[in-house]
Order: sequence, then C-alpha cells, then structure tokens
Amino acid sequence: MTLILNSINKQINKNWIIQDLSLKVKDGECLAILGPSGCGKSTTLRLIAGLEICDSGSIFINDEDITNISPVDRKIGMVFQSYALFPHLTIYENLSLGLKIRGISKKESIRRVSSILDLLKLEHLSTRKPAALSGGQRQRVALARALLRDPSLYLLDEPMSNLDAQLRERLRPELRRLILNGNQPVIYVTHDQHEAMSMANRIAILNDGRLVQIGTPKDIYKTPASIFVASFVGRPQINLFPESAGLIKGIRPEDIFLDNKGIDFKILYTEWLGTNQLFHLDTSQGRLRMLCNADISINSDHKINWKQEKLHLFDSKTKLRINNG
Amino acid sequence: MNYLLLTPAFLLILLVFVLPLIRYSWMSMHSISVITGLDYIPNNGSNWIRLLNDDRFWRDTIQTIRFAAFSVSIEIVLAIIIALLLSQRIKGKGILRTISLLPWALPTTIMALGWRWIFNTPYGPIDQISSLIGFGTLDILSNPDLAWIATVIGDVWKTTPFVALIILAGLQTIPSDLYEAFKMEGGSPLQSFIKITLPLLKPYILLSLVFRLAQAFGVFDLIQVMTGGGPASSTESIAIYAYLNAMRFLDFGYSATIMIASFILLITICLFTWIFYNKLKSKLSI
Amino acid sequence: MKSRITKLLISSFTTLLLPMQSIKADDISSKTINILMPAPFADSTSYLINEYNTKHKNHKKIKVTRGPLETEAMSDLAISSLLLGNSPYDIVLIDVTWLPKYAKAQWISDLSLWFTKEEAKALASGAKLGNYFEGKLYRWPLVADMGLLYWRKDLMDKPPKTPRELIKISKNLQEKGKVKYGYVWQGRQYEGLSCVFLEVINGFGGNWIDHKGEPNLNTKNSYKAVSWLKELITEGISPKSVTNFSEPEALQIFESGEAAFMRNWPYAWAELNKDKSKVKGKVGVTVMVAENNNLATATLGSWGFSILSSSKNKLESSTVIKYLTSSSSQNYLFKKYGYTPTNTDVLKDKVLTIKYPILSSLEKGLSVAKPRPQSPLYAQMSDILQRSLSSILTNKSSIDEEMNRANKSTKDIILSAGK
Repeated sequence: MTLILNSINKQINKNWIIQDLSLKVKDGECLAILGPSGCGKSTTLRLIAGLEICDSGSIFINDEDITNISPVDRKIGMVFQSYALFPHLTIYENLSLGLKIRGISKKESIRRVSSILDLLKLEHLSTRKPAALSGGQRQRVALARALLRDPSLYLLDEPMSNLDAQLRERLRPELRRLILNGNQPVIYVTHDQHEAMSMANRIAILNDGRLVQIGTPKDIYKTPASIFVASFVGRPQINLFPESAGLIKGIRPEDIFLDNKGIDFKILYTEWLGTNQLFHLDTSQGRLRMLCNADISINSDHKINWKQEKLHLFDSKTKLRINNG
Repeated sequence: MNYLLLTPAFLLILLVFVLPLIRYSWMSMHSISVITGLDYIPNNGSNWIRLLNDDRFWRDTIQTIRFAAFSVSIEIVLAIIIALLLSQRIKGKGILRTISLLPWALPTTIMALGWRWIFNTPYGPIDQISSLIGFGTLDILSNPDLAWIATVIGDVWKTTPFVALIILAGLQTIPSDLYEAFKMEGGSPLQSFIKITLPLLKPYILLSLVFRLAQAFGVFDLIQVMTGGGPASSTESIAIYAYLNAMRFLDFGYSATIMIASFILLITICLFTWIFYNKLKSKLSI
Repeated sequence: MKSRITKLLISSFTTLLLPMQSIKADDISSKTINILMPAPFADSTSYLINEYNTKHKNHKKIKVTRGPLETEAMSDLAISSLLLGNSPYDIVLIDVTWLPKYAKAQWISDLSLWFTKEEAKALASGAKLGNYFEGKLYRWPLVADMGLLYWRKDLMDKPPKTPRELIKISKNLQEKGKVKYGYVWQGRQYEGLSCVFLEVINGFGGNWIDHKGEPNLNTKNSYKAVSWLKELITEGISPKSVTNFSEPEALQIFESGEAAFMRNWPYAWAELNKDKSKVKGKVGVTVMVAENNNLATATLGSWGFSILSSSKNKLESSTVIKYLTSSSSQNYLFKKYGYTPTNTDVLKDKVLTIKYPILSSLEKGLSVAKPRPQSPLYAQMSDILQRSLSSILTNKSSIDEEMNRANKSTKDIILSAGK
C-alpha cells in the first residue's frame, strides 16, 4: 500500500496553505510531517483525510485516485490531536458507532470491538465515558478507533501532544507495536522534532505550505537543505556565523570543541543539561553555543575550534545549502 | 465554612422565593377582598374548594398549557434551525446575530401592539394580503378558534432569538473534530445531527425548555395587549385570571390561591417534561 | 442538578409575581400636594398647575405624577400604591368605575366637608352621577365622558333614532356602495364592551342591574339588546372583526370613511376633524339609538379627583381640586383639549356654544348619561358580562344560555358579598 500526493495545492481565504506538495509514502513506512505552526502540516493531513478538498493536484492510495472521494471511502484511520471521542457515549459506544453506521452486523461489531479492547487492555473501561478516563487512556481509545477501521492508511495528528513527557515515553513503544509496525503507510504530524526523529522512517519538513526537505532523520540532521531546516532541526540550535562573501556558515554546538589552537572566548553563562552542558560563549566570531560532555571543566586558557568538514555552508541569498554532507 | 459561603445565596432564595410562596399560601387560606375591607379572614380552604370547582380556572389552565406547549416546542425547533444557520461560516454573521436578537430586546408590550396591528382587520398586513389574493379578511384576533394561534406566533417571534442564543452557545461548545471524526467513520450530516449535535445540546435544550415553559406558563402582557384574554375568553391565561382577581376584583385571597395552584401545576409540568425528555433521549441514543 | 432546580424555581416564581411592582414614594413630602394622573391629563393640566404654583406663593405647591396612559394600567398603579398603605399621593384622578371599590376599601375620603350641596348643584346632571357611594361624596369631576353616536352628515340628512333605523340606513348605504360597513363599535372582550352594552340594553328598555340591585340580564329586553348586537355582525352591518375592536380600531375605520356610524367617546371628535381625517367636517354627533327617545342612554365614563384617606393635606387638596375643576379651568380645558365640561355654566355657555357647536351635542349626551352599576363588585360583574357577550358575538354559545349564565353568575357574586 502506498500513498502518493501529486503536486497538491490548497488555498483558504485566498492564502496559500499548501503549494505544490508532492510526497510518496510506502508500505509500512512512517513519514513524520514536521514544521512550525501554520506551516500547513495539519491541512496536509486533512486533505489526505478528505476533510478538505485540494484545489489542484491529486492523491492516490494504492494507485487509486482518492482526490475527490468521500472521507469514509478513503478507509483511513485517523487519530485526532484532541482524540475527538464522543463525550456522551461510553467507550464501547464510541468504538462501535462507526461499525454500526457502516452497517456491520451487531455480532461482528461486538467481536471486533471486544478484540480491540482486549488488544489495548481497555476492557475494564468499556462502560465508562471519556470524561472518566485519563489522558493516556483516551489516547488509547482514539488509537483503538483508528485500528477498528482496518484502514489502508493511518493519519496521526499530534497524537502525543496532549500527554506529559513521561506518558509519551511509555506510549511510544505501544504506538510502534500497534500501528507503525503494520503494513500501512503512516503519516505522523508533529511539531516536536524529537518525536519525529524517534518515530519516523522519514521526515518531511514543511514551511509556509511548501516542502523544504524530505529524508531520513539522519539526512535531515546531517545535511539540512537550507538555513531554515538547519535551525529548525537540532537542539540546541545550530550556530550561524555572520555573512561573509555571500556565504553563511553554520556549525552545530556539539561540533565545537576545546583546542589549544583556535579562538579565544569568554563564557557568558552555562546551562546544565544532565549528560551535557551547554556553554554560551562570546568570541571574535560572535556569540556561539558549545555542547560538551558534562564532566568537562573549562578555564580561560582554553580556546575553541571546529573541523572545517563539519561546517554547513549556505548561500546567503537563496539560503540554500551549497556543500555536501 | 462551605455552608457559610452559601448563606448569601440561600438568604436570597429565601427572600425572593420561599417567603413570598409561604405568604401566598397563607393568603390562599383567607378571604381577603374588597368585601372584607381587605382584612384577612380565615376561610378553612374555601378558596381551594372554589378553585377546584372553578371551570374558568381549569379552562384557563388548559389554554395556558396549550399556549406554552405550542410556543415552546415551536421555539425550540426554530431556535435549533436558526442556531445551526448562525453557526455556519457565512458573511455578515455578526450583523445577522445582532439583528436576530432584536425581537427579544423589544419590550413585550410594544411588540404585542405591533402584532395586534399586524393581525388587525382589515388594515393589518396579514388581512391586507389575504384580501389581495382573494381570501377576504381572516379576522384572526376576533375568532375564538384562531386568536390563540396569533398569540403563539407573537411569543415565538419574541422568544425564539433568546432560545437560539442559548442553543448557539451550546453548539459552540461542540468541538468540530467530533463531526470530522464522525464523518470519517461514515456518518451523514443528518446522522451527525442526531447522534452528536442533539445529545450534546441536551443540557441547553433542557435549560431552554424549562426556562421557557416557566415563562410561557406565566404569559401575561403579550395576551393582555393582543387580545385582553378574548375573544370569548379563548386566550385567557392563568396569569391574566390571577391578575384580574388581584388588581381588578381586589380579591387577593383567591388570586393567591390561583398563583399557588399554577405554581404547583408548573412544577408538575416541568417534572413531566424532564422525565419525558430523558426517555426520548435514551430512545434516540445508541 | 440542584442549580437547575433553583433556577427553575426562581424563574417560575418570578412569573407568579404579577405586576405588583412597588411604588417608590419618590419625594414623599407634605410640603407639596401630590397628584397622580394618567399622562394625558397631566399634560393637559400642566398649564393650569403652573399657574396655580406661581400665583399662590404662600400655598403648598402642586406636584403631578404622570401615571400610565391606559386606564387599566393607571388603575394598577393606583391600587399598588394604595395597597402599600402609605401612599405618596394626596389626590388621585380616578375613573368612574373605580369609585365604589376604592370607597369600600376606605382608600378615599368623604369630600362633603369641603364641597357644599350648592356646589354640587352647579354640576351638570350627568356629571353628578358616579361621585357618590352609599350616600357619601368621594369624588369631584374634572371631565365628563360619555358614549356618543357619530354619524356621517354627508351620507344622510339626519341620524337614526332607533336600532332598526340604524340597520336600515346602514344596509342602504352599504348596498349603494357608499360605505363598506354600517356601524363600528367596541366589541373586544374588555370594559368598552360593557359600556356599549349598557347603552344598548337601556335603549331596548332593559337594565343591567335594576334599582333593587338585581341583575336583569336574562330578561326579554336584554335578549333583544344582545340579539341586535349580534345581528349587526351577522348582517354585515359591523365587520366580523368588531369582536376585537377597542376605540382606536373603530376610530380608524370611521376616520377612513369606511363606516356610516361609530360609537365612541368625545375625544374622537377632535381626531375626526384633523386634516388627516377623510371625514373632516362630515361628521355629526348624537346620542345612541334607542327604541324610543326616553330610553336613549350614554354610558358615563368620567374622571374626577379623590382625596386619599392617608393624605395629610386634605384641606389644601380640596382647594386644589376646586381650582382645577373651576369653571374657568374647564373653559380652558374644553377650548384647548375638547374636555367635556362638568359645570352647567360652562356646558351651557352661550358664547362658547356658538363658537363650538359640538358643545350642545356633548350637553345632550351628558344629559342622558348613566353610570355603570355602582358596586364595589363592579369589576367582577363587568367581567362576567364581557365574557358572555364575547362568547355570543363570536358564535361560541347561544344568547339564551350565555345570558342566563351571566345573570346567575352576577347574582352569585352579589350573594357572595353577603348583600
């Protein structure tokens, strides 16, 4: 099963939300769509879901053109950011509602819902209403509903963003087990690069409705295609030097090291990050961030340096990368 | 401490509600009229016996229930339709919302005069139009079988915006992604109205229902102005009867009896509505 | 759940609180003479009151509270203030039908201390009526008011005298297409209907309440009167919608030239002779039709001043009343506002009559004026009558059945009062 977006465009209120977006997601692949808020990632998801219709371009699932067919016929399992559980229905009713309106027999419906409840260990909650559930439990119900559709494609809209960090850690393996390890393509929209990098096979970065780069998490990190990607991906943020001779150079904080040769610096302040520490330095090249091992101690005799091959070079006009990894 | 915080509310309820109720109940056990020189003379419940045998009171009760039932149900159905329209993405929505509230902001007596004029025979627009298209004058307000419908129309016109506002507020509490999730599961717009909108609007509908029933049950100025309770007393409400007894006949004992009786009736009706609504709702849901 | 019940209770309760809104005694002071009047009277007397206040520097000033425009609303306000006990008013301008009720409730005081028999003699005969209860004087009239028959001088030489004639002329004019309707009157279920009926039942030689205080609603003459009113509708002399007509609706039709006759009060005269009226200068005024001349009746509806029992300024209040009802004041009020004078010398003033010919019609009307039954239970009696008449006129029940019922109910009411 494959999902293909073929140069789709979407305008809302005369603003371009999506411009000339093409993507291909293969069987069992998880593509994270990452970008700042307002970049068009949610709209992309809604276009695939059929909740919005493209102005131009086309969408295919398994060579079938679904650009203009109704959401239900696209057979998509979607998990909403808010989970979108029906507050007036019990968990069981929430899960069986869709089966019922799609005309699945009561017997079959009971069988399917029970097995999903079992799979997600939700049986004991089946008679409760969503308000009586914890955030994590609700998220699992939302997953269960998507699974019940037995879809040809999963769309996950910020599925973890309403959960606390600890819970996210716990739910990631579950998400992997249930959805990401399946055969269907998964589109995973998030604004959290950490999550994108850890969950996705590939990441698509959107900015202002355009695809700016697509690739494996490693590609994106190692060879960001533009200044935007370089500064958007990677925390602490990449250091960018002031423009010179039509070039903007960048160096990631972890690529700066202490050296006897190199340049002088003054420590402005230090952030303690547990395994690492981040130094904010004032140097002749401007302010720089340097990420070091936590047990390193620094004194004023030290100088800092970096390897030339670690530098990222960008054209100052186009803001695009000009060197190769 | 918790109870201490409740005291002001409790006192207020006591003052504006319980005390007058007790006072009216007490008054209903006395003859207090122009004949007694407005003195309170205990009469061993003869007001109540009179009430039970008072055909006029029961007729007014039926007429009041008819008025309330028709106006409130029409209002709620219309209000839901209007609220659904107003919640759509349409141009000039803000202006529309404001305009739609105008009838509600208008004093009842003024708008009742307006309706009296609209139904005026032969100069009102309704009779003018019906004469123009050859039906002759309709004489609605002078027809004992039809006049009450005119009062219902007046009430619906006046109060629907208010109910629509409550329903609209309710609609806005329903997140749009519920509809989207339901759409992706294959729900049609009608199904999503029945399965999502209506159940989630339930508290708002119930609030409007009880609130409006109580108001419509006490309808007074609208009818007083439009028909004065006529023709042939066909539009007289309980409130008008109670008012006549108090302010025209100066028979305060009996007036208090009517008020207490109508209060008991109202509570009963609201309870029945509540039970009925819950039954209806459980039938509708899955 | 709980808060819902509370809300429900409060809202239902507020619906039970009928308009017994309390009257804030704004500026209660015995330094002024406080008068409550319906707004139109407050407006028309404002000049006189200003004059009084400037001329009588050493007297207490008059302060007028503008009451509501409508009679019923005015009554509500007056009663609410009286019920509270300490009413802020010294004088209230009251309608003729309220007097027995107010007197019985002891809200108003006997005026005979300040108004002599001689002064009473100076009142026109019709204006003398409706000021007394159980032999005591409780009210001094400001303006007389009585039902009149307005007719179209351009369509007939002289007005009809009998009910038959009225129907005959109407039919004739309607058939010729001169007018759409013959006769418009007040058929709505309200006080005006009782006023109309009093004139008709008397005109047929009957009585609403006879001199012994017994209702006579189920007599032959009463049936004749009701049948005539009903015939007006069934024969198309009056529009069907007359059963929801009060004064303005009747006036509207007559003013637009669509009716030959109208029953209304003296105020209509000025309205009919305004420029916007289509019958300006074409209207005559006479007394209501009756089976014979002696029976012609005009229902008395007049406004007069009463001094409240609670007033601390009774003597000065009587001076104020005398001033406002003096012949010169009445002269002014007639000329400026068309108020029917109650003092014979103004009503029969030769100079005034030549200048204003309507005055003689008013005088004639007032001379046959009759008050409605003078009982503290009048409101109940009138209500019974209105309900029955409205039922009959809208074909809800038969004349026999309804008038018997009305008669019995009226008797019951009188009996319950322990008379």
